[in-house]
Amino acid sequence: MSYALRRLTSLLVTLVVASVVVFVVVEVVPGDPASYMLGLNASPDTVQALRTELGLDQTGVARWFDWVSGMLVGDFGVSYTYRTDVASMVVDRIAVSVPLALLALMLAVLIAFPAGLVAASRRGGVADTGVMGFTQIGIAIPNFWFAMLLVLVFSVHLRWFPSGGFPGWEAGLWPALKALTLPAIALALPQAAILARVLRSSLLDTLGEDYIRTARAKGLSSRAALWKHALRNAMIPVLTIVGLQFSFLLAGAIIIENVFYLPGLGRLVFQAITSRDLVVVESVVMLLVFAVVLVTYLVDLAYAWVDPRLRR
Amino acid sequence: MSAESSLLRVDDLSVSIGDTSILSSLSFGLDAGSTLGIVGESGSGKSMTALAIMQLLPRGATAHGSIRFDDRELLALDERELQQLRGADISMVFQEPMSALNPVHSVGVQVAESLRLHQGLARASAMEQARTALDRVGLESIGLDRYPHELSGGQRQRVVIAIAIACKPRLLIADEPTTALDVTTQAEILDLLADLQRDTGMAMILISHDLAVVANTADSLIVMRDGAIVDAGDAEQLLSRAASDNDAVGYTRELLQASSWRPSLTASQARHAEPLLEVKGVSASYPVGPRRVFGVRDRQTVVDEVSFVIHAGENVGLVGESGSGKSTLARCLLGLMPIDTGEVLLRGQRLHTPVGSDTARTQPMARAARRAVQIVFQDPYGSFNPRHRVERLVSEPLHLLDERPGRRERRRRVEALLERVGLNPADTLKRYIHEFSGGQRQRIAIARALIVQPSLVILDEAVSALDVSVRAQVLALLAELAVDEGLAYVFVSHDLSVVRNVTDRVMIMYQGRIVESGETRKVFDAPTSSYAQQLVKAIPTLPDPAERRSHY
Repeated sequence: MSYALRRLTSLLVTLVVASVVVFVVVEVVPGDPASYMLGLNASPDTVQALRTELGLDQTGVARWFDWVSGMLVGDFGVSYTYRTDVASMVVDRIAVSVPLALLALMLAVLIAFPAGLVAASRRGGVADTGVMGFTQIGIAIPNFWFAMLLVLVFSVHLRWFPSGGFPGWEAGLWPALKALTLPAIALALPQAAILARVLRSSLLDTLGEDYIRTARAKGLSSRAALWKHALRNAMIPVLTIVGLQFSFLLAGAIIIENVFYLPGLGRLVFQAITSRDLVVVESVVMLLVFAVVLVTYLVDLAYAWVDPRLRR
Repeated sequence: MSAESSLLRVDDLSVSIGDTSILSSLSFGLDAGSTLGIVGESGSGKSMTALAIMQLLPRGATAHGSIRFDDRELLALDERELQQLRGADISMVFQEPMSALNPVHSVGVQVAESLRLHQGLARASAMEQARTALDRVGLESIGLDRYPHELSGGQRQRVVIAIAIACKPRLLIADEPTTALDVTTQAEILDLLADLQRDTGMAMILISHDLAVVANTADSLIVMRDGAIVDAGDAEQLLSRAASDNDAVGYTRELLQASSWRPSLTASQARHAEPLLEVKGVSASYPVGPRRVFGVRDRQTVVDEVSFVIHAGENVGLVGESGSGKSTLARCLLGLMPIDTGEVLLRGQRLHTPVGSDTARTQPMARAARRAVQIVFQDPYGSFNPRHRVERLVSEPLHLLDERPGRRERRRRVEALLERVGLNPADTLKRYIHEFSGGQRQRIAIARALIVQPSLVILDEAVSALDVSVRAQVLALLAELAVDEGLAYVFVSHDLSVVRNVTDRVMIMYQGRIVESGETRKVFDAPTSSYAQQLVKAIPTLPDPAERRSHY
C-alpha cells in the first residue's frame, strides 16, 4: 500500500533529522562536551583524556556518523559516570518502562471506552453527568498524590501490592506485574479521564451527522447506530490522543517512577542529566524520539484502517 | 382530500418542542401507489412532517394527533415496532447525499445493512441483494466495495435511494432529494424515482422548496407555511387555480410567481458600452495526485483557454455543472487563483498575468483592480466572521481605497449602503451576523461588495441557498442596483432558471471550456451544442396546465 510506504519514508526522514538535531544540541552547540561533563574543577589532562575517549578530536560529521552507525548495530557507547555499556543499561530500563506504559494505556482505554460510550449515548443523563464529574476530578488530581493514596490503601492497609521497587522479570511474571500495578493505575487514571472526554465529545459530534439519521431511517436502534456507524467515525481524534498518551507515558512517568522507586527510562534520563552524562542523555533521547515516531507511524496506519478516505 | 385514503392518513398532527409549536394540526392522506408533493420555504415544517411520519423527531419534540399507516397508529407504536417499520415499510431519502452515507463503510455494506436487519439475510445473500438494488438505481458499474468518497453527488444519491428501496417499502419519503444536485443530475434522479414508483407501486412523498420539481410528479400537493398547510388539493387543479388570476390562494400564487420571477432589465444600455473586462486565453490548474518528495506534482487543468469580454453594465451568466470549472474561473477573475496562461484586462489594464512570468512577480494585482471586482458568495453565513459586528463586516473592504475614510465617514457610508440594500441601519450596525435571516445576510454581503464602488460584481451561486420569495427580492435589489450604479454582474450558477430570468448573455461551461455562449434567450430557446441542449432540457419547469391535462 503506497500510503504505508509514504508514511514509512516520512518516518525515516524524521529520524534522520531528529538525530542531527539531538546531536547538534548535545555535542556541538554549547562549547566543549568534555569540560562540561567534568565540571569546572577538572584538570586539563583529564579533559584531554575524556576528549580522546569521546572522539572529540574528530570532525562533527564523522562523530555523527559514528554515533548513528553505532546505534544501528546496538552500540550506544559507554556511560561516563557508570562506566558501563549504555545499551545494556537502557535495555534494563526499557524492560520496566515499556510494560508500565502499555499497562497504563491499556487500563486507560479499558476505563475510558465504556465511560465515553455511556456518557455519549445518554447525553445529559445521570450517567453523563457522573462521567463528566469524575473525569474532571481525574484530570485535576495530580497523579503523584493519587499514587500515594493508592500506596496507603493497597500496600499499607490491605497489603495486596508492594509499595515500591521492582523485583525484575527474573523474579517471575506475577511479582513483576504486581510491582507495576499500582504505578500503572496512578498513571492511567488522568489519561483515562482525558480519553473518556475526547471519546464522548467526538461521539457526540458524529451522532449529529446525517448518516446517523440515515442509519436510524433504515431501522437501526439508536444503540446500534452508535456502535455500527458512530464509533468508528469517532475514532480519529481518539487515536491521536492515544498515540500522544503512549509517548507521554513512556518518558513522562518520571514522577511516578520516583514515587514507586521504579528503575525506568524517565529516572535514567533525569539521573544522566544531573550527572552530566551526555553519552547516556543523547542515546536515551534518541531512543525516545524513535519510540514517539514509531507510535506516530502506527497511529497513521490506524487512521487509514479506520477511515478509507485516508488510504490513498 | 379523499377520506378513505388507504395507506397513510395524517389527522390533526401537531408537533412542538417545549412551548414552541413546530407543526400545527396537519391533516392529509395518501393512497397506495400515488405521489404527494409537499412544497414550502425553509422553516415551513416540510422536513419536520417527514420526520414525524418516520417518528425520528429531534430530541425534545412531542407529537400529538394521529398518523395512521396501513391501519396502524404510528404514534402509539413502541420503539421496537417502529424500528421494524423504518427501512422496511417506510423509507426515506435525504437532501444531502454528500453526508447521508457513512464515509467509513463501503456502499455494499450500507445497502446490505437494512436487508440483513429486516429480512434476516446472511451476509453473502444480503450483498447479492444489495447488488440487485444498486443495479436497479443505475449503478451497475459501481462495485460493492467502493466507498462514498469515491462517488459523485448523483451517484451517492442513487446509493441512498438504493438503501431506501432495498426492502421494497410501501412508502418512500424523499426530502429535497435533488436540491444539492446539478440540473442534469436532478432530472435523472427525479426520473429514477418516478420509474421506481411505477415498477414497485410504492407511494411517495416528495418534498421540495421548488414548485417546479414537484409539479411534474405529484398527484396531489400540499403547500406549507409556518408549520401549517395553507393550500392543498389535486396538483393539476391547484396549479391552474394559482396560475389563473382570479380565485387564487394568495401564498401559492406568490410561490408560483416568485419561482419564475423576472426583473425588468434595461439591457440595451450595455451593448454599446466599452469592454469592462477582457479575458484572453486564460487557463488554470490544480495540483492532483500524491505529493512527491522530488519532482513536480501532476496538475489537472480546470479552466482551459477561456476567452470572453464583459461590457460595463452587462449581466452575464456563467453556468455549468459542479466540476465544470466555473467557480475556479470566478476565482481567477478575482485574482484569488493564479493563472497558467493568458491574461485578464480590466478597462484595458492588465489585472492578472500567468504565474512565473516576469510581470507577475514585479506587479502584484493592484489595489485599484481588486476594488473594481467584488464577489458575493453562496453561503451568506460562512462568508462572514461571526465575531465581528455588521459595521465592521461591511466596512472591511474600505482598506482598498487609496484614501481611507475616517471613522465618522466610514459609519456614514456603511449606513447609506445598508439603507440602499433595504436594511434599517439603526438596528443593523451593531448586531452580529447570526442574528439575521438568510436573505438579510445576503443583503449585507451585497452591501459589503458595493462599499468600494466596484464596476463588476461576481455572484457565485449568490441566491442558490435562498427560498424562492427571498430570492426574488434579492434579485430585484440586484437589478435595481445595476441600473442605478451601472454595475456589471457575472452570475455563476448551476441554477439555470435564475440565469435564464436575469441575464442578458450566458456562457455555458463544460469540462473547463466555454462550449456555448450568446444571448440568453437565444441560447435557451435554441441551444446548438449537445451539452447545452441536454442542460436546457433538464431544467424543471412548471407545467402549463393545459399541457398537463393533455398528458393524462
